[in-house]
Amino acid sequence: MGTRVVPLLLSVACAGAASAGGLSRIEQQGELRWAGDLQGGEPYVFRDPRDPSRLIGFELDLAEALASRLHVRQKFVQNDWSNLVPSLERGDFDVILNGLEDTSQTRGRILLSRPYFAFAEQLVVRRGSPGRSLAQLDGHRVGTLSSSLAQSILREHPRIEIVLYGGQEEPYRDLQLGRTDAVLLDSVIASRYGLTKPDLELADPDVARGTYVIGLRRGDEDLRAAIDAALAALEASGELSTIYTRWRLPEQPPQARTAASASPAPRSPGEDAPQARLDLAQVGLFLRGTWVTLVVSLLAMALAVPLGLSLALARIYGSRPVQLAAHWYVELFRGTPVLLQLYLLYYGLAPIVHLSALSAAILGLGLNYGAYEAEVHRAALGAIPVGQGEAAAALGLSRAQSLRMVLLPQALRTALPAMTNDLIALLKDSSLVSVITVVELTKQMTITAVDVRSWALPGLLCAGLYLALSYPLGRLAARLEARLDGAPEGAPA
Amino acid sequence: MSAIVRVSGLQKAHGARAVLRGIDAEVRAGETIALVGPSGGGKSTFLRCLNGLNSFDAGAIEIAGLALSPHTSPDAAALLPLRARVGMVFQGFHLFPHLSVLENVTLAPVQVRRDSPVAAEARARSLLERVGLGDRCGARPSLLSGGQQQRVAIARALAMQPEVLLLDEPTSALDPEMRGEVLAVLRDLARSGGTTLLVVTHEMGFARGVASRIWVFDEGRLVEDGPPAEVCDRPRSERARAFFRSAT
Repeated sequence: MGTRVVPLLLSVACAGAASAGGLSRIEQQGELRWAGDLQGGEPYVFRDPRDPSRLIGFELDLAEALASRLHVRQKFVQNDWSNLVPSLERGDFDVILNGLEDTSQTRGRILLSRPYFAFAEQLVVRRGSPGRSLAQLDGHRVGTLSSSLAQSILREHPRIEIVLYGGQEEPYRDLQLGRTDAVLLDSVIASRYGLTKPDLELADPDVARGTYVIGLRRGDEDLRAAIDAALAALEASGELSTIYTRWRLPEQPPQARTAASASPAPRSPGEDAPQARLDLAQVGLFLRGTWVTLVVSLLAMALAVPLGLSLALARIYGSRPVQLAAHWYVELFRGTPVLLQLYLLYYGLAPIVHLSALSAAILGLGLNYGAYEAEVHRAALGAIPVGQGEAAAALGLSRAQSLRMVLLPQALRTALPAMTNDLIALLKDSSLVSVITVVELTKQMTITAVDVRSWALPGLLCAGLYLALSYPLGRLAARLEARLDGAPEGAPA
Repeated sequence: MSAIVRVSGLQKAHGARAVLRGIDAEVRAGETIALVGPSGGGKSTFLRCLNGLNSFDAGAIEIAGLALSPHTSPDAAALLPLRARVGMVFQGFHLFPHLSVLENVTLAPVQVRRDSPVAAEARARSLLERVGLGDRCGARPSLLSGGQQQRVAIARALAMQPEVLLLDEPTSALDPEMRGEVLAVLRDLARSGGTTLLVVTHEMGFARGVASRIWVFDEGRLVEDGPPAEVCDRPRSERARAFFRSAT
């Protein structure tokens, strides 16, 4: 067996350090390590609501059935969905079994099994909404999952504004709220998450076809052959359809079903799309992401500084209840993850306050950083000698005048290095707002990395752009510090 | 001449420790009073009570025609008119480091008394000229020596044209060679007689040569009050005798 695999290993240098083919490795391990993302939820693989220590789902049943055909145990490995392919290549597990779609992008990178499920891409809209096909949705916002087949279909409609999500519940929630005008996702997701909502309806049940396949590392051809054989046997014996019926999966499109029996997978619309290159258009997208990062960061900071200053003043000069309120604001926003705050602001508060993604991002980061600025300003005010306030008072300045003209200018000078630090940290933390669908620099980098199938160049470009933002900010702050220290007029006359 | 400062029964305690144990005193307009005595005797606290930077527990203060009552918070808005008429110079100068020398001097006249910036600047320049710093108007305080800073602080206080100027150990933080330049300014100020001065000081030569009266504070009491020659040479109290023995 070993001799058969050697040429394959040589042909793909990146194929991990396996000394033998995938099949013998699995037999040695005694288990098939398959990866998925529990965040994908029902019905794929997810925690049993009645017993969260247990995993259930149709893919778990499928993994069990496959493993028993291969005479090994199955072992689930949790992995972020959008990074399943790179993790497979790294050798973190043996196969991907988690709604992996057969697209030219994945096929160019890893081995794919025969399809185990066929689906239709379905367009869901608000009930009675006018745009009922992709053609009618030009100039509108359409939601879908990041790096899905549906995303590549949408990209063939350049006038549609694509809104990307990480989970399948959020696209439909935003559709309900009118933040988008349609959602394109496969029939499994649409039937579970979209059409269960009474105010949503199916506009186009069959935009395109696709299949779920099992992904394997290059060099594991023997394992793929074994899995293909096992899948064929499961299909022939009816076990596969039993599993799908048990999980009430939607009807598989008939043509696709017949195609699924044949070994080459059906052609999907994404198939014809040539592999993207890191060309000028991609660089343009990067610059747009940079602009979004800069705008979000600067506006969030413009909110955080006055907010922090007010909180600091409230903590120092406020009455007891005001002091306590400011204190707890700081503790609350500093003591909980900003990611959680963004989620709550955008999704949690959506029924009450209807914020756009960009304003939620700016507000969320601003409110969070306000807590940090409050402590910076409180420390800076506390560092001013008592005599400064006394001298101002002795001259007859009111407390407000003393604050405005004597104490705050000195505090801001002291706080400036810390504020610069926070602004640069904020530039980078602003990448978190991609969870609420804002495509900023880091998100753009991950999208491009998937498109061009490389993390190195987009990563370097992304790092360079962050530096191009933060370095001038640091220089600017240094010059401002020098100016506040009175360098020009302080020089001996 | 009528009294410009009138203090009666002034008492103040820090917790259980009495700092001022009933002070009665009067100052006539144009007088220069030197407040002397051992450390912890209460003279600085007394001075700070006069413009409300320290509150007091009992008694009454009348200064520049305004009354101050016990337990007034140092931040009280009611103190603003008083502060505009009573200036103060601190041991540690407390110039505003983010402002130029000129801006330090014009800040209060423009902001508090609403003088026009042009008039305030002209007056500030002449005051800085008077304290020998006419050429340092544009400098930041951090570039000045201690003696220069204290002279700016005096100009800053004088810019409000106070009726009474309180000086809390104005030369104690200075090297000996810089004390002279500050004392010279104060001497000149005392001779001109326009402003009533109350100076807490350890400079006995200055007190003797310039003050119209010397007050000796000890353990919260005003134990001597009289012309320098009388107080220094023939102190009535044993405490004052002991103080002058150690001070000379």
